Amino acid sequence: MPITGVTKGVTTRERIMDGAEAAILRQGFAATSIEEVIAAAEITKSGFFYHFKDKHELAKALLERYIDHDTRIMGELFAKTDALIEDPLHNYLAFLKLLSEVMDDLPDRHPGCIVAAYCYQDQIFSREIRELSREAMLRWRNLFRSRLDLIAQRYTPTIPVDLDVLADLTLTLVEGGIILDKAIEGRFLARQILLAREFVKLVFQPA
Amino acid sequence: MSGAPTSRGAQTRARLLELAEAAVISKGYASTSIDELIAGAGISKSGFLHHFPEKSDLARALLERDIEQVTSVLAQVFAEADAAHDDPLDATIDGLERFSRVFAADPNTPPGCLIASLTYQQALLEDAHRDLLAGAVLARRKAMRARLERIAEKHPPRASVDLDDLADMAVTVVQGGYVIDRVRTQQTLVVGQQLALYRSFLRRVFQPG
Repeated sequence: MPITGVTKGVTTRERIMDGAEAAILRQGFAATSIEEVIAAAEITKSGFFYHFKDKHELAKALLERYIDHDTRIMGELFAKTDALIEDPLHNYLAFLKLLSEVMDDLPDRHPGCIVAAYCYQDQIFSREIRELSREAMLRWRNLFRSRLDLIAQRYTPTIPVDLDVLADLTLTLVEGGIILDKAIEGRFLARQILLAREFVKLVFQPA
Repeated sequence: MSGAPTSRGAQTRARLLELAEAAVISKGYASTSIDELIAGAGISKSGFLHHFPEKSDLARALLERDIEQVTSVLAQVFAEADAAHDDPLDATIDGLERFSRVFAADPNTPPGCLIASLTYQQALLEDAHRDLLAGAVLARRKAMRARLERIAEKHPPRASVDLDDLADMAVTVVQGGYVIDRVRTQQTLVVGQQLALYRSFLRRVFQPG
């Protein structure tokens, strides 16, 4: 799940990665050349190769950074809700509200999700890279699923629903919301996350 | 669907677009080469250039074809559903279910949507093609929004849900579902599950209790 961070006082390595990430989200990986990345980072070719032995090593580093970043953000949001709210349903609803706010607070439209950008060109990536994405997508689903399990212990769902599918809803609306925003150049992502929240509420809260 | 093309030229064109769509969805627009399409369709380069003088002509034709096909499937499933139900909520839910079944029957592997693939490579497209892409997404939201309004006249929705957001959700569950399918299993699974969830969400929003 995709959240962009603000980087200050960045190292050369980070500057290379920031420029490459932005280019890949605009035009894809294949169309992004090392020359272009070098020019954007204002470094020499040997400077680039000091940090990355080839383009695929850069691709892997970008994906790992992206996954780590989003995992950390979600961990931080749950740390906040866990400190304040004991009830698992209200805790999860608060988490989704905070996640929506994080998206809303982005200065610009969400630039895109690296996992999604890669998946639409997956034939050109190594098995290792595809496996990293797959594991991240499963880990995030399982994170939400564990929260829904706690909710289901205390609340009876008002409609029949598979908790794995409900866990996927948040990921789905984030990925879909980003595509919608990019396609029509609007900002709907935060609102879509609130719909996931609304749905969880409807499932577990008696009318 | 637009029916089988009749002339030989139209058949070749259709075959090229089919190959190009599969290639763009599996590895992206930049990596899709004219040479592989020529080889796949068994034609000459001049034969290809006759149909698509520039690669951007191919992009435009791909977009137009995708928009036409999806629009026609949507029109058909919702026409069938509207004919089968008096109630607009039942009709919309049934139409979405029919749409899901078309998806499930689609042998399109790997899972994915041309529009999403091109959205993630937007900078390679001409402005006019980006407009075409945006227009297609906007048209789908608008169509769903119109259906939701008709439902809301009969079944007042929960105040907490905005109809525009709910209309957008029809687009986001499909697009997001494809991404997850693509990343996790390379099979069309989550799209159908999320569309089913969307249908039960609609039911709960418009028919509380």
